[in-house]
Amino acid sequence: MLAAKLIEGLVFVLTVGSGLVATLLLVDLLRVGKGRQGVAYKGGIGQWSWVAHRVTGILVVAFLFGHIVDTFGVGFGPELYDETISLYQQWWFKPFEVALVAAVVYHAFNGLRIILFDFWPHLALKQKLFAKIQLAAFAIAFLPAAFFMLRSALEESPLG
Amino acid sequence: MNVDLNLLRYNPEFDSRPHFESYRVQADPMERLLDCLHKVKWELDSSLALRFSCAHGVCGSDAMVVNGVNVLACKVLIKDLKQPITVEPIRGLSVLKDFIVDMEPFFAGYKAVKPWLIVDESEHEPARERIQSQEERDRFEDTTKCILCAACTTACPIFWSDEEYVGPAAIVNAHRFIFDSRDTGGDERLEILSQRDGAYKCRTAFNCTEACPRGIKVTKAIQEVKRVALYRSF
Repeated sequence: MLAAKLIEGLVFVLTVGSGLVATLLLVDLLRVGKGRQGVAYKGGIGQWSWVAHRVTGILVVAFLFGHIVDTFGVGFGPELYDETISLYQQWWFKPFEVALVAAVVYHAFNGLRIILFDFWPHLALKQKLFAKIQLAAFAIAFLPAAFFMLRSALEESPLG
Repeated sequence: MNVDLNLLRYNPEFDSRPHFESYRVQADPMERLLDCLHKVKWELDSSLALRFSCAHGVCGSDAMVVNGVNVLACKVLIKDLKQPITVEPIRGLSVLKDFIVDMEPFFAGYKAVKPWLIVDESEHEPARERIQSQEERDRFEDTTKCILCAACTTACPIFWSDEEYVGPAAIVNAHRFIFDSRDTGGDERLEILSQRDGAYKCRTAFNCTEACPRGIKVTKAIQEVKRVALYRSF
């Protein structure tokens, strides 16, 4: 069905494209690119946490938008909806789902870290420690999920 | 020892865009970067433009991006820098020539927060001094140390993309008066800092705290201002 393919395409382009664009914009802002005059600002873990927060935020919003569009398809009958949703069952789409999980988990934990500083300003003195705790929490929550998701993707793939 | 410098030069009269030029000077490892820049200017290329005044980390004139981070050229020792030393003007403000930037947007943010003592009009000439306890004074001790060098504000990624943001230095100076027990202008300042370009634009990237040559806990001060601005509304 053409409509289903179009919606699938939209979800795909939004998710991958916006993440890429967000990353490029931020990298440009920090002057990492070789074409720019000057060197990247060598901020610490706080700066890079902020960059990652922005990139994952845009990624999640873009996917959410695509997801609203594909759910909207349910109003046109189960055939269209089922065919659209089948995109998420494809083995090659799993890595993107893993990226989505990473984005959501990172954004959530980093958001909690920032909220801590908002309400208890003295914690800002230990910002590097909190950034490391947040990264550790992210790894604990994300890595097992990524393992199981990628394992099932591998089993379904031609390699499996 | 030989000191290799990569300086980001820009002269609006001749250059369409900034470009790097390399210089080599002789210096003692215990000399400061400002000494090397002076050697370039005095001995190799007199067209190099930079600001400095006291040369001892007090006036705050010579903030620059050195090897990717904001420092005062007069405070950083040659032995602590990896060579070749890359020097660029501070970011987020338009470059007038070489390391001289237009500081007006920075000072506009500073003035916007009314960085002076505001007291009750009727108390203009008080009969006695305004007494303050040690604890009351300690409340804002950290933020009295600001020298307005703009190292914090021009290290802020939010300020790079939005000159209208008052910036960390302005909030630090607002903090200095908001938490001063003698001052009565706290509400006025919090009103200004609660607006779109005020304290809430801070995204806690902590570049300001790491860049401050005076060691001010800038992000902590900003967070304290945000918090008091928030709780004021309840």
